[in-house]
Amino acid sequence: MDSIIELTGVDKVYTVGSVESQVLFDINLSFEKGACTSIIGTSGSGKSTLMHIMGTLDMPTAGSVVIAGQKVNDLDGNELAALRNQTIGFVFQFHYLLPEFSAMENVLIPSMIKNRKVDRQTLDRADKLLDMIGLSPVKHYLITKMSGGQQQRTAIARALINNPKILLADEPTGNLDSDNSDRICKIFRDINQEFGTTFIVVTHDTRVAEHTDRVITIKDGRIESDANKI
Amino acid sequence: MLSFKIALRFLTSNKLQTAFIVLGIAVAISVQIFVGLLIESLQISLVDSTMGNAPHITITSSRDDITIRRWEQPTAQLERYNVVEAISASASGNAYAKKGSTIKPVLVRGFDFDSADRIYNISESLYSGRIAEARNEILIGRDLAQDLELEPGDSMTITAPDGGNTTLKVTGFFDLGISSINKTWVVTNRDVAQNMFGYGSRVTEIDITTSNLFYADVIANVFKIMLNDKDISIENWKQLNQSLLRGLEGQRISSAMIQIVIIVSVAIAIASILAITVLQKSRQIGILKAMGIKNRDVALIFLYQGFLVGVAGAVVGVGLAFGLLQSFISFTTSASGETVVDVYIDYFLVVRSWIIAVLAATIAGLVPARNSLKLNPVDVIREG
Repeated sequence: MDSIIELTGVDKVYTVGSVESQVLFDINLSFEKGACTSIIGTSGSGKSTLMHIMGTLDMPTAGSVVIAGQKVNDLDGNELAALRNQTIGFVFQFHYLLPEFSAMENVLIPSMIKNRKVDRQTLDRADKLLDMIGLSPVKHYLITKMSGGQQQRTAIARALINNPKILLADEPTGNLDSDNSDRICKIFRDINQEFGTTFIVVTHDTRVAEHTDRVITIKDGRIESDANKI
Repeated sequence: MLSFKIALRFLTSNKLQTAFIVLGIAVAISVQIFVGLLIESLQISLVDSTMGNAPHITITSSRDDITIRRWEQPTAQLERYNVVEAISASASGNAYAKKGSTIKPVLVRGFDFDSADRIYNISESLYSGRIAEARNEILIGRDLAQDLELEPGDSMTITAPDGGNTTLKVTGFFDLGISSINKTWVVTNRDVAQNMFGYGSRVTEIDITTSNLFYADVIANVFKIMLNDKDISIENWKQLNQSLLRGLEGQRISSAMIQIVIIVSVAIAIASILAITVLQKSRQIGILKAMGIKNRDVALIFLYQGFLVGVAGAVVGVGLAFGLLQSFISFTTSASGETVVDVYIDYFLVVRSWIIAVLAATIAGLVPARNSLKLNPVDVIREG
């Protein structure tokens, strides 16, 4: 199958003053289209940094990253922004929604960034997504008036509004109770199956990893294991 | 559109902070407009009291006999120009006025009354008696009337430099607001003065008022070239009122300085407050960048914020300025209805201040806009 993300020889070194700290060492990974993968590891293992690099939020110190056929090292700021907007959806541990806007407006923002305006088709898609994750009754609530689980589900709908090829989730259930956590995992699985979205979740929670087809374990900035369950 | 929507929502989500920014701008703009209008009104009052009843351009003779010979043709020629509001050819001369045993030096001014009235507003300045109609009737100033103890209807004798006496009837007294005029002027018909001083059909000066007195020097120069007559000399009020002009210029510069200082302080204040909002909203900006918003659109959010608070502040500021002016007028109006300064509303100044305020606020938005460009989304996300 075609790969949608290719990481080759990726290193990441942070420099603070004269102190250098390497968090990723020679990472070589490939993710196939439509795959459902989890990256697990303990806190400080480098898994979030890896996700930020895959999401073009951060750049590798060495090595190359190719996303949907585009080598990100060669792209400028605006091209990276367009790639993030149209190809990648993010879900973070903290929902990172805009508190000044309602759930519906938050969901529509990536589409407004892409198209500058919202058409009927996009509104219908937003409605469908909010309905799918059970938020239709509260879709016009301000984010600050919603529960943690509702906020995280809104963030998922927002990540999907532009129909991205890739959905990256960083500890998406880290802030939720077990009921909400299970619900989120089920939603991810449904999305993966219904839309064929390539799904990569970074987590330290092995229960979340159980819902995925491939589990990559990262330790001290290196790939420790990479196992397909099917 | 998204940037505008986000800017508006950022402002409305923190109403108290926005209200303070808008109020700050409004107070500054209101002071700017109030001071600007007040200084301009003072200037207009000053120019009006100095030049209201005086010609802007005066054509005199450069010949020894101080008379202008062929004055009808140039007078008719100049009268046709739109910039000329009024033109009056007069025959004037120094003489002595006698009543009983009192003798006073006077300046006899022989006018075509209707033309001269459009320049000097004599009929409006008449406070006692009536205007002179018959050939032997004259008007005199308030101070001269008091010096000679005259009443309307009295006669007085004018003695010309050649010793000839003319007895004339005083029909009224005027007050042109300038003591030297009120003390010396005797206003009569042009032909009476021409006869009195032996000018024949000649005049001694042609007085002109123009549609814009501040361009009187330019207009005078054009007339000089047009008439091209070495026997005449053309002067404008600016040449004769240098100290007034310097005073007006000083006022204009101080007004401009005050306005510049106010605008710069407003711009700095807005820039600082909006720079703080970049910090307050750094999380939101980071999220938007993670979602793929372009730097240009992020910068636009802060430019729109500057623009919006500028527009709101300027609108409230204009309202406040008019409130201040109204209070000023109320406080400075005496029981008899007289005001210290007649306030003129220069709408151009109001609109200009409004536009400058909005521009300054928008430009002030550049500082936070620039700061927002440096925000890295991964820093926001890493901090949680």
